[in-house]
Amino acid sequence: MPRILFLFASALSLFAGAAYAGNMCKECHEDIFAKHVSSLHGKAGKDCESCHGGGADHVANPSKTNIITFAKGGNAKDQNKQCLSCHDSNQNLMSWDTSLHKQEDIACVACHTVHDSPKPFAKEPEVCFGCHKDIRALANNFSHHPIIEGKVKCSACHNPHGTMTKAMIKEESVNQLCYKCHSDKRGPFVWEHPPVVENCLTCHNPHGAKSGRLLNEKLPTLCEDCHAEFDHTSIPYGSNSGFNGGNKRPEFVGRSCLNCHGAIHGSSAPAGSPGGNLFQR
Amino acid sequence: MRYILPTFLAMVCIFTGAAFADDVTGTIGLGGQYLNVRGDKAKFNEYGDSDSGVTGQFNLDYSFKNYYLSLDGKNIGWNYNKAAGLDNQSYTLNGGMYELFKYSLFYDETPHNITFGAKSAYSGIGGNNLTNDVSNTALPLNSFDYRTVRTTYGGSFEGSFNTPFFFGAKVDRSEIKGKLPTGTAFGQVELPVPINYSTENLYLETGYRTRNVIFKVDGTLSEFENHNGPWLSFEQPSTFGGGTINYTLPPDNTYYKVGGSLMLRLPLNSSFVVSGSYAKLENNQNLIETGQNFKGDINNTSISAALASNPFSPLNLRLFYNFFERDNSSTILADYGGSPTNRYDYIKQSTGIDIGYRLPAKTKADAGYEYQSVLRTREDGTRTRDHIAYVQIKNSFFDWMSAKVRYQHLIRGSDTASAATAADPFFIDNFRRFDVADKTQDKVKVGLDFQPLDNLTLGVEYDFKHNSYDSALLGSNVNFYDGSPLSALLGVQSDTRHEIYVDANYIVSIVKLNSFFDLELVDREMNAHEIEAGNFDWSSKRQDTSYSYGFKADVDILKNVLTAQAGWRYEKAYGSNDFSFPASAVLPVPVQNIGALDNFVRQTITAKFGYNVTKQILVDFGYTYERLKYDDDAWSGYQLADPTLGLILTGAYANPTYEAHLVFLNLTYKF
Repeated sequence: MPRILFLFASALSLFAGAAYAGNMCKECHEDIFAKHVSSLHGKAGKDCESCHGGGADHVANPSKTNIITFAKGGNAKDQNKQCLSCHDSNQNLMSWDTSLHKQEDIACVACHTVHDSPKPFAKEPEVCFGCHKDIRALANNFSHHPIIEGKVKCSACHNPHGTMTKAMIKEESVNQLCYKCHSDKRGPFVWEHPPVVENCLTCHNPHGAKSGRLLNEKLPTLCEDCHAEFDHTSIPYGSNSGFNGGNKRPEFVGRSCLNCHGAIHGSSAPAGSPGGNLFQR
Repeated sequence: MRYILPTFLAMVCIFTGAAFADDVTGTIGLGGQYLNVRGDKAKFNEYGDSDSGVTGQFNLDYSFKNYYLSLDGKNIGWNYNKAAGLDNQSYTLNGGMYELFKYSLFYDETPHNITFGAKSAYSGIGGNNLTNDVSNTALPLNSFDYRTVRTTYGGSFEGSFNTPFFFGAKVDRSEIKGKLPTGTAFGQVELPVPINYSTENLYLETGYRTRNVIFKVDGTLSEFENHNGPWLSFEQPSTFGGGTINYTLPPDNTYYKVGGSLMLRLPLNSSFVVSGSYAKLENNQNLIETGQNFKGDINNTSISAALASNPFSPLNLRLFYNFFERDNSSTILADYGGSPTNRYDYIKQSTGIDIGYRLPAKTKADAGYEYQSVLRTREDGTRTRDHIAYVQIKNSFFDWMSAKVRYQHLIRGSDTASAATAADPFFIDNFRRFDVADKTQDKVKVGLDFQPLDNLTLGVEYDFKHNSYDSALLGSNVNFYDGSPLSALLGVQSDTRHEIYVDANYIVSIVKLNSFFDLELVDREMNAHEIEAGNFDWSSKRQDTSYSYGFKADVDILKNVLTAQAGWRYEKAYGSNDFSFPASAVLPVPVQNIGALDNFVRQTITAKFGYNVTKQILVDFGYTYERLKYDDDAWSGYQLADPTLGLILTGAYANPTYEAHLVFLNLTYKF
């Protein structure tokens, strides 16, 4: 009996699909149908019911309540279930269930425009900036990674479908991620600067910053946040320490600390004063 | 390569289009532009290559049954002033068969312009041997540009052939060429560092995937090569004693990584994911000044696991654990220039739980806790322990409105082993730097998105963040150097941020309006102890303010025929640093407050018209105006060589102020 029921249901499903998958929908939703046919989903052979479910009830009584819709404000869990019915075995989505975006009830269609664009890929960075307004501001700041210029995509560093790391970055640590492009900073160096090798974010904001070179603060104050106890690092440098001041100091003007400590990411030169252990060469 | 590739791809695009006619869609664009920049052209063009000349782009999409092919080319063109192709062009080719395989080829150039027309008395700029007497600033100075161009090209393949098994491979090569500035205490001279790097990467993955089980193993091999070798030689100014000095350049390295991941879908609507990786970074350096050998050997190990469950409808649970170890097994040199070298390792572990519960009226409450512990071989912070807890409420009862409030609190405790010794004078008793010091942190985020009308959407967000280090024991109360009492906790004491973000979109008839407003206020307080001269405590309060706003209007003047676009963007940032001293302090020289700290104003105005001559032909005509004015007390009055300072500079980053006018005309053909 269960087998007969199963066969019957399958046959019903197939015939219903044949009936409503194409022309029936087109009769009322001509614009959307035309877009679907030329879209990636359409070309891959997916019909309307692949996503919207069975349409028999909807044809009999056209209403938004008897068909699966993807309108804004809908239930993200139900909407995503439709997408995942095909995509849940994608290895790039293997951390989706444990991801922050799922935890936040983000619907797939919040980022992927299935009908309005022939390719349903999320448009970066605009889609990301829609929610992450703080990142939008940073990415437009005086110093920034070339995100708005289209040379670095959000998805170059983050997997919005989830990873095992914080902020859904694509590597196991921040530094391993940064080193993918900045392989010159990998070292290994004879002399290491501990905060540098532990976390690039101690000094840099990768999205953008008011200060140059993506620095969280302008020098020398960034360095003084730590080095406030020794020698010339603990001197108060006021505006009169500038080029036009009466107390000119090389530690303050221009690139500040980096005027002498240029090898701040690591050095293999011998120790000394000056020396590699002080990142002075 | 720069000239052959675009020509070849454009030919492929055109001929393929012609050959397959109806199965092919795409566009080809050709245009020209005129650019006039007064001031720093490098900052205006920081990541671009915009100049007077010819520009073009194309894209092509072809599909036949299950097969698809897509070809894109951007920023193809000719820079009239440089008489060369553009340095920011990119091409991608994607193809495949649905559910069987896909592949891609890519080529991209990304410039990073720092400063054009920098000056140096050195000769040999661009190589790894700089010669000249830089103390003689009367010499004609050599002019050069601080800029790099990164070229990346490669390909990838991924296939499953309609089976549960999949295989993927990606290979790419990245080359960076140019010059960047650096500084050295040897002669206090700024040097142009030659950049000629290449990195070759190979990534392989394979695995098994079904709805309930996904298993993947992957491997990475990455080789970095500095084609200028690991040393830059330069002559120290004679005023500093002359002689040839060696400056460290990035050493070659090889990086291997293997990893694996497993995802299981379990009963009770649950998923479990576990992953692990092992990475090794190594190199071998001959230290030319001492003849010693250094073997770099850094090993990273990671293990992560997460369990997510939705056992019954209103409840979501997530448990997670992460382990990451950096093990530095590089050579320790007992005596390298008079000091022993050391190694830096750390182990980071974190575990936590997130709970979400759906309440009536489309309300969801979330709460979570995380514990993180980091063990370090670092004297000032041998261990930190973080306790992080948060609560969040989100409501979307009305289809036209959603609101979210989140509060997070962090408490960090730390251990230190720092103790001042004659052999290790850089640490003072119990001193902990801010990144490893005790602290408390509060974060608040409030967000509201609503759509009061069908044609109006508004978004408002307020973020608050406060770090307080004042409960931390940040230093000894006795000065190591002279035994004098220290009355202040040292280093950064607190920082507070307030951020507001607003955006709005409004559509009325043929007009679509977008606007935004961003505001960021940052306050930081720090303490220090002056020991070079005067021996007194001091404090500073730094303030940074940034805000920006903008408007953009798109108008369909004649539907599908004539469109217009206009935009205005204004950004302003300013900062200050105010110092305070105890009444008893005897300042060797007065200290003036800093009134201009990374101050800038940038305005951008854009106007564009688009005219569809026919369904196939579109003409775009537009104008962009942009002005940046930068001011900072540390850069005002910049001089290449100031005898009082003793610095010999090259002009790097010196004056990013500019004003630019850009006029462009593009013709696009759709097929």
